[in-house]
Amino acid sequence: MASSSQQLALALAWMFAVPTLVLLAGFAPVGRGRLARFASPRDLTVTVTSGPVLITYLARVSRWRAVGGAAGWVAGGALALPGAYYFWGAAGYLVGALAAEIRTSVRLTPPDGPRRASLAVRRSGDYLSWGVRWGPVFVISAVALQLAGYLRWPSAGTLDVQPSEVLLGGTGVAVVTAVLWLSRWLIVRRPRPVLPDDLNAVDDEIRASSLQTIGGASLALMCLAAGDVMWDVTLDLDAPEPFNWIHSVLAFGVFAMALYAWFGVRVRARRLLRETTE
Amino acid sequence: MIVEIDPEASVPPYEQLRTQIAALIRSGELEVGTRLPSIRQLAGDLGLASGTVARAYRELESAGYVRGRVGQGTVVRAAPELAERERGERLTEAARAYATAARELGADLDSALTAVRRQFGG
Repeated sequence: MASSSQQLALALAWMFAVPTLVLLAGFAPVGRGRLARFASPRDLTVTVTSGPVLITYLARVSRWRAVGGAAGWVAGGALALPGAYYFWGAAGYLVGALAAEIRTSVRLTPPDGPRRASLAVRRSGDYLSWGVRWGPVFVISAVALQLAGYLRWPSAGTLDVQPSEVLLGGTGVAVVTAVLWLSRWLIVRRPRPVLPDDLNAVDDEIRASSLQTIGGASLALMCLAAGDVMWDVTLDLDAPEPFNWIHSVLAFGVFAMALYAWFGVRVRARRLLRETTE
Repeated sequence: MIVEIDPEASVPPYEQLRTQIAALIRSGELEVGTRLPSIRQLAGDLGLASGTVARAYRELESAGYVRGRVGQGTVVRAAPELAERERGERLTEAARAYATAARELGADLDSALTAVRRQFGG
């Protein structure tokens, strides 16, 4: 059996090893391989002028996201925040990703002389995959269904699910939804000057990638916050079959969706199908 | 489809924008049913105040070039037929603005007319 000092050492190692690895990965130089991994799935041709723009973007966002993720992970452990390390790591990652976009979207002074703009419409829906657009609707519907079931078939004894717990979960979902909305607003409305075709393509992919990353991370956090409440409800539910089974599947589904959102949706390369006036 | 605004010009930015979009609609480059960008998007891209773009859109709407629909944004309509008198008034107004700009630049009548002919492709 491990002594208390060994357990402490293990806990500290766990608390600092993951953030260290995340920081090392986030601050690693952007090489050709990474550039190709970004460009290939998006059918993006990297040119002499667009390459440096892409490298700057990839370096900036991965640094901010890594710092946010590492800070969240460490803060979750050091401050003994409720919930698992990974939840706070993901929350920090999302804050870092948003901070990187805010930094880029800060309004710059318009240049002197004539200003040009395209009449092409930019909409967040064009940049996002199906999962990010409809995932939050699915999660909120699942939570509503679960709570409706709980009100219909509460447990026979005392209620174990406290209103404060539901309120906390609901606040978490609301905050993440607000972050998702803010990021869409920031990224889509970010001014775009008239650029050559190759830089236009890169600009579109950068917007799409940022929105997809923030959308996927938001959805994962939303699922974790909602899944926590849903799981407690499922354990305390006194519903007849097959409703009990349906509620259990829903709760599992939301947790599974958190994994899919983080490892699938967040990193998915969306092929842009834009409706333009050009 | 590009619009260009010169903040230094004697013609106010909303009028420059209105004229260019109206011309694109009249020439058919902006087809009926095409959505125009939101006021905020275009204002951000051009570095103008939202009110400036909103005024241009409002004037285009009152002239019948576009229609604003809740949830659909601003959509291009068929170019309205101008009455002879209205066309004359607008032409006079545009000529006055051009003449002012040409005088500011110190251009004589011949060079000003040559520039106009060139724009007409003649």
